[in-house]
Amino acid sequence: MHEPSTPLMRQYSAIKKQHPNALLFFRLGDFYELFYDDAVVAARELQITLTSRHKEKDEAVPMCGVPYHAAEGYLAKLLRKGFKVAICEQMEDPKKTKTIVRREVTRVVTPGTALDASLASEENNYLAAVARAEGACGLAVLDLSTGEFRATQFAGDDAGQRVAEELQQLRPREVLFPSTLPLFDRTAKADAERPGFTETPLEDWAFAPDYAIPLVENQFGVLSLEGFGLAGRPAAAAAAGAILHYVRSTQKGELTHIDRIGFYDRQDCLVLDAVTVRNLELVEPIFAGAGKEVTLFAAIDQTLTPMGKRLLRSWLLRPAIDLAQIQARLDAVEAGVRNLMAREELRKTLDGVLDLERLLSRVTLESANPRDLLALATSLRRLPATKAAVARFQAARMRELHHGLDELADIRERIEKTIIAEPPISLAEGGVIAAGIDAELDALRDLSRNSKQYIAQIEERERQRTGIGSLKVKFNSVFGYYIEISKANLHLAPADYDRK
Amino acid sequence: MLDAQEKIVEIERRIFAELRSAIAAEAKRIRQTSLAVAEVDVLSALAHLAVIRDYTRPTFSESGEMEIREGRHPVIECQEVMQSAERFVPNDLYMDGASHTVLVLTGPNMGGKSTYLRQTALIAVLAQIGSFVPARQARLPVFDRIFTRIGATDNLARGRSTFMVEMTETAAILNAATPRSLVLLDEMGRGTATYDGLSLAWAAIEHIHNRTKAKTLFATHYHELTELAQLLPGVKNFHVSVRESAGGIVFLRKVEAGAADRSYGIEVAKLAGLPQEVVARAREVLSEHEQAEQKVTEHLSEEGSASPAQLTIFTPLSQRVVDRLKEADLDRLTPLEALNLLHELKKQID
Repeated sequence: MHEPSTPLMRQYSAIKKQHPNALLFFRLGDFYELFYDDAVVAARELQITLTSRHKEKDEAVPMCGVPYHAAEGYLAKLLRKGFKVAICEQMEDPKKTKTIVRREVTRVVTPGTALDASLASEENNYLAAVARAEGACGLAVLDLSTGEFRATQFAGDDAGQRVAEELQQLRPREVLFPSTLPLFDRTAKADAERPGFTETPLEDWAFAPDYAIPLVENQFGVLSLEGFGLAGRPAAAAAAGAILHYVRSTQKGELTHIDRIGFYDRQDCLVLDAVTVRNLELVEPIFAGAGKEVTLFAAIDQTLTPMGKRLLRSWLLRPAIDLAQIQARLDAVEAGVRNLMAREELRKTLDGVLDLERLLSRVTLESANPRDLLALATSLRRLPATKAAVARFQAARMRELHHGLDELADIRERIEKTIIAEPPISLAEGGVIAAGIDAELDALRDLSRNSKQYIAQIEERERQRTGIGSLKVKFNSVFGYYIEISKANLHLAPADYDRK
Repeated sequence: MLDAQEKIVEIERRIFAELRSAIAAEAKRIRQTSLAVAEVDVLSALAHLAVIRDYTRPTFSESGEMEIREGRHPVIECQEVMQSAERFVPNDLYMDGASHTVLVLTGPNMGGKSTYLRQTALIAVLAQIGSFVPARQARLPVFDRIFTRIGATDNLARGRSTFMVEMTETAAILNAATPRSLVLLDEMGRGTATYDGLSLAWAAIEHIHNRTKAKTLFATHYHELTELAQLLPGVKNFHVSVRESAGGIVFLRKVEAGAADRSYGIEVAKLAGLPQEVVARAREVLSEHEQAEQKVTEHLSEEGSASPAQLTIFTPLSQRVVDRLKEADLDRLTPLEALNLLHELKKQID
């Protein structure tokens, strides 16, 4: 890349240097623009036109762009294809600055940290990390969009192989690993079912237990990881820490929806390796062309909520092995079978509950918009009925679930009180917050409403006074409010008008 | 006034951000509720499923016995109801750790062997997630692992030979299976020359029976393997039944005890539409070879029999044809000569 000559391109280059491995979406007015190689790649992958910017020292700079309001769709497409994208926003109002607007990368979106609505609801979107410590090989997995967080580790000579198998089964979108250690040795990788994940090497120190373990303790607000089963399992903990490190550096927000991590052992469940999952067509058909109806999941899925679908799918991939747990579930199912009325009533309350997990993560990661919050409230509205319906089942497991079902009425009320019934999708024009919440807001709105009327009155009055029917009252940032009349009517202007 | 507008937006943003933070602070509660709702959804969905599909509650055996009465394949039984008037044919299954550890399943392809294998595994999976199962009755052990090896799905495009893939997977199974595991082997030995494959299958079954002791269902086209039931107490033969009529055969898809008494490959080929003369001729060739097969089976049954026999599937009859072909210099033949050669060879065979 030649040394850029304009201030804008210098700004671009400086930012791009910090994100060499991501496509840089550079905000210019109503568009996100990409330049140089990024533009070539984006034009190809998104099927948009590649153009060029004014010549820089005789070389046209390749460029392409996507409109700001349609960016999410393009972003999703790039993520599905395994790209990382850095979003660089204008941090100041261009109308207010004379020189070049300040810009900053506000977030980096990666395949493993995708949140957008186009994620298939019954699948998880996993970010995985692999770490080595004290002779063991650890693996941690996070679905940022739901908050599900798990880790395991393997010891022994075949640890690497078993991690590979586990990754095959989990099918993460992105895998983090220390940059000095290759992820797998090449031959093992060639056998991978579908290498369809993005590899993201990170600095080695992000995987060091000394760094990673305190990070995990800090996230959960605990003094030791014993409660999560990670004490004495440094490889698993290190992998978990690396994930948190990465997510924190690429996302905004406090990540409060990631509030626990579970250590799991392959021995905790009926083990189905990737070959068996495929051969039995549990969740995917064997032949890529066939539709999903041939899978066991599709044939038995009668769930009504996206969270339920994900849970059923994960039960199929990891069936239980503890007889007491199996019997408890069977008891609950039997109670549902025997009691038609209670079952139908319960299912009716579930119909219409949206994806609470994913809505929550949009809230904590600060990407929720007003409609998301209202959607959350609408779903929460069904909870009292759901809770009451669950109470009608005698089974022990149902009673436990009843106990764990917080109706969250306070949250719902607060949302419904604060946001109007049909808000716009963005806050840019206002009109989102209800009346009666904030005195200053209400006063300003009155003023605004009245002002519009006031201006209209002035306009009407001046029209009458001068006889100029086309007289208008307008505003610009140089003069403020002014009266506009056409040249033809100049001679009718009264003496007290100042010409500007 | 426009200042007012800007201020309004600023205030709204602030209030919205506060609201969002307040909700984020309650994340733990929301998450817990979400998980509870998810499980409530799944459990009631499984109940609904059991009712609309007529599933029953499985029971579990300490002894390791597995007994399924009138089991059905959960996916296929739905599809059949939708696509055709045929009812899905249910089947029984019995296995234990003693006299019925390895079931060898023979019979024609398309006869239902694969379906039987798969529905057994699927019923086990459904039972262990806590669901009712598609059967009149089901008593199952709690399995620790399920292994499958299905020949038809090898991915040749990845550049590894079918045989290599098969052996690798089979090795994994033989090494890792335990007496609490379930193993499904469908058409093992496909990927290589007949006697290699057969011998390997034979040895694998012996190993599983004597050492591994996992419950195993072995569907195969190697009729020779039915001999194992005479030699090993834990091996039993079953077959998918077929009814012969004047017009051909009908797959009954009923699994019954005992070995298939014939290989029905030719009948299946007829059903597929192969020309009449080819089918008829194939039957003749088959009966000539069946005597040779008999000798091979006797050979395998003899333990410690050392001589590596010259095993070939060709008899002297076909050898003549092969020799004649070898003599022919195809580069020099005109089309007419080639046709004549073909005619001559055919006469040889006839």
